[in-house]
Amino acid sequence: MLEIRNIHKYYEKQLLLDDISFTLGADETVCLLGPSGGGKSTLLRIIAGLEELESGQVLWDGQDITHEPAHLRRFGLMFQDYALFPHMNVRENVAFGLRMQRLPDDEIHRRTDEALALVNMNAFAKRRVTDLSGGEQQRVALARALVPHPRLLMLDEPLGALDRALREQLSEDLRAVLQQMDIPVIYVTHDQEEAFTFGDRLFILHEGRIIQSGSPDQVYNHPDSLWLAAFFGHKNRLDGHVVESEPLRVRTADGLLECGPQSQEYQKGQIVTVVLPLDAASLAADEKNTLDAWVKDIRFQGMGYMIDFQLAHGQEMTFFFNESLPRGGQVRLALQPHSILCFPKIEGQGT
Amino acid sequence: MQSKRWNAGRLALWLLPLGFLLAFYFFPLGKIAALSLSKWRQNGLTGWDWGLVGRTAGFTFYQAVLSTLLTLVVGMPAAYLFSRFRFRGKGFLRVASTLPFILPTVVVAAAFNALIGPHGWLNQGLMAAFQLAQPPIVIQNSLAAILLAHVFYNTSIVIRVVSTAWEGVDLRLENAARTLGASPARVFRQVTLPLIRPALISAFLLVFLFDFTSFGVILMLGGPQFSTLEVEIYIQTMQFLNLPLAGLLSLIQLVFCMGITALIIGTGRSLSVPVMPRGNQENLRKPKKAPEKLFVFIMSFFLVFLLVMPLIALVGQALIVSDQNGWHLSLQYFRQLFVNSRQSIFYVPPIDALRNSLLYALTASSLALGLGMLLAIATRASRILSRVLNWLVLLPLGTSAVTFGLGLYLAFGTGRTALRWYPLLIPLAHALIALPFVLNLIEPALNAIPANLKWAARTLGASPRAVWRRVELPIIWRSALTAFVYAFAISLGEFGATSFLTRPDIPTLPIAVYRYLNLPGSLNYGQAMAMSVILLAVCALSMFLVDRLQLPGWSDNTRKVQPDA
Repeated sequence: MLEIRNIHKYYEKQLLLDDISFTLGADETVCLLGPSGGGKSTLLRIIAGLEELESGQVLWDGQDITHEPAHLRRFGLMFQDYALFPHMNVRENVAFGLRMQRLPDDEIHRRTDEALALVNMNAFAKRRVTDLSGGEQQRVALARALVPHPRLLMLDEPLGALDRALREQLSEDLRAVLQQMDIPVIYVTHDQEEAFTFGDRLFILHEGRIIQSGSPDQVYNHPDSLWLAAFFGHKNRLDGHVVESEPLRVRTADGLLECGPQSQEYQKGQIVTVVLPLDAASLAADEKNTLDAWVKDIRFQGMGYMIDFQLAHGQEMTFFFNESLPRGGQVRLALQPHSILCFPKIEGQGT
Repeated sequence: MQSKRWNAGRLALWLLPLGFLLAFYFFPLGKIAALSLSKWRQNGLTGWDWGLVGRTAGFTFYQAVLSTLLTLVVGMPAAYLFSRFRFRGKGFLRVASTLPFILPTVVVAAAFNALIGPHGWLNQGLMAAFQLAQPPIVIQNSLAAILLAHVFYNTSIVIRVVSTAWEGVDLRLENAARTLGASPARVFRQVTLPLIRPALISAFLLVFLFDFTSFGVILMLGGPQFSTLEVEIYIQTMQFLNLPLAGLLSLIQLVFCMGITALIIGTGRSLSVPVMPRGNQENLRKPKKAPEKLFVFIMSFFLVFLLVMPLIALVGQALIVSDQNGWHLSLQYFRQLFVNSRQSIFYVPPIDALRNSLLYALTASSLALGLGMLLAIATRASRILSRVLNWLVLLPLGTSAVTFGLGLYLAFGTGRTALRWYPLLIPLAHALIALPFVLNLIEPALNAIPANLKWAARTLGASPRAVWRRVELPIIWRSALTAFVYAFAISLGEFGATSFLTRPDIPTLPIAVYRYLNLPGSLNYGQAMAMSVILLAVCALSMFLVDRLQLPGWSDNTRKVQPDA
């Protein structure tokens, strides 16, 4: 199986990948999640053998393959822009990997047909790839990557170039195809929903390091850092100081908040930033864990309402509600202790 | 990872083009320098005819400036015509304006001779009309003839370079300036001109370089009293056998040309000329107002007269025979090409020159394409080495054809090695001359292939060699073929270097045209015209091919992600 050990990579004298290590299970799908330009694609190219690295090792079944040429590794890689060969038609593109293995013509033919059927592109076999739509190109690229039976499949933003409606549809198709394969998959994306959909495990890549890994719900519900909380879209923040560490209670300007169990421990008196996820608030029935707020703005979102509140000290917050609230009205918001996240305050970052 | 490792194959890839340049470029150039230096050692500075050197250099500069300015005066309105108006016959005019650029100098000289020379249509017509005994227009052997031919030659460069830029200037910008209260003159000065200025400077430098190194036109139309550096090198070598002086002139020429080339490259311009201005339909309109209509009419008429008439006269002179029965159409001159007559200046029928030329051109273009490919591959393997090689390749670009000829002649054309090398010298020289153009076409095409395509092929199991064969080569074949055809056309019409390296019994077509043009008698004149027509036809065919090859370019339909239906 794939093992990555201490990979370092510089790009124009900047450290792009900083000590990346992980191991991949036999038929596990791992999602590399992180903002664009974070070195995710570079990591894929290193694993594929297309890029040099300053230090570190790539191992397969315990064997060091760091210096094995790309074409001998049998790792499939699907590029974000699909990289279909413009001078070949759909069938020739898909058959390319089999031709490289110098298989007999009838086997190439049969397996190409199978792969095209798998992605529902039989009818397009003779088409020029330049005449295909984005979604069709994506299917061809997937078939081309799968048909040589790679030992490992890497997908670089496979849905990134598609528009939203198409992405949802193809996302299901892709999931169905991947579930039929019993090979490990590395799926690179900057989109958290995609990562949650596909990943058995998530690796969060930030500034060249894997800052957190785990199952999607684990990572989403318990981000280790303020940065990751913000990356997941948690924008509601309040600063305060710890008044009690067990259970954790934080005094903020707008009231005392009790937080559920956190990934790290806090000392009494420590200055912290409390993050309140979108779904953490409801209308209060009692006095515990509450914030007083005015309803500033309401946006209907289909499944419910995004409601902007203003707290007593001017702080603005947004929460998701199932029902609407009167604009301008004053409400008392109750916060679920287990959904409140707490982080050490980072100096220089206002709330 | 493997890519940076050196192995025998990679080294050969490098050494081959490098060795070629060393042997056939630097060694000959060294010969020229050594020759001049040895004379200098003997006599010091006093041994040279400095008056001649100064006069020649001065005239070279003078005629180049004059020609370039005149070309711009003609080319600018023509570029405007092409980049802003839609009118009947534009397609024809566009092709007509492309043609001169690729025409061999001898064909241009012959064409002007056919129109305005002593036997030219204009003079014959005037003599017939006014019963004159002498040709009334004596333009042959004058500066005017040189300038005219240069304008004919290079107007197409100005049109192509400038109109490509001009077409790119969005009409809406000019309209916006108008609505903001700028007069048309001001719009031109403050909006259009700044936007096309880079192209204008490019065109100026290119045309200047071509005029500065002009050889055939001046030799054939200027006559004995005008000589540029190029012509003087030839005269000193061929007539006075004063090789050291020829070498000195060559070095002076080299310094000037390198300077201009460095200026062009250094300012980030390219020596390539866009193949064909393709209309940006949005910025084109039909001439509506009377002055516009008048401009379009006069300008296209003028361009037809300037660019097409000489060629028509050339074809006419080759096909129309005048004898005691008057004027009539005849293929007599063409038929004569197959006859090995006793008065012939060659020992072979003139048509053999065509065979020689085609053979040389085929060898030269294959050589140039092969070398170009090797260089293009080699230059991307390593950054530092590629920079070195890139600079080395620039040098031939700034070397005039006559310098090539002289250098190769000195290095391989005389002495004991001469016999063995002679049949190869001409294609070698042509390949060197064509090499920069070939590289200019191949390198961008190779660099335009997205890295992802090569990476995708690698992960699908393609070795580096398979990637080259199955992905890169099929994608750039159009460019490679275009480069081949270009090199072929260049070789076919090459005159400057060839004139040093040719042997009487193996003439090329341009050499034959030159010789025949200088002989008395209407049969020789007619045969010169006929051979020029053949050259013209082959070159026109080549350009037609190049234009066809351009059509569905790979860059036109790269993987654009279309919205799904």
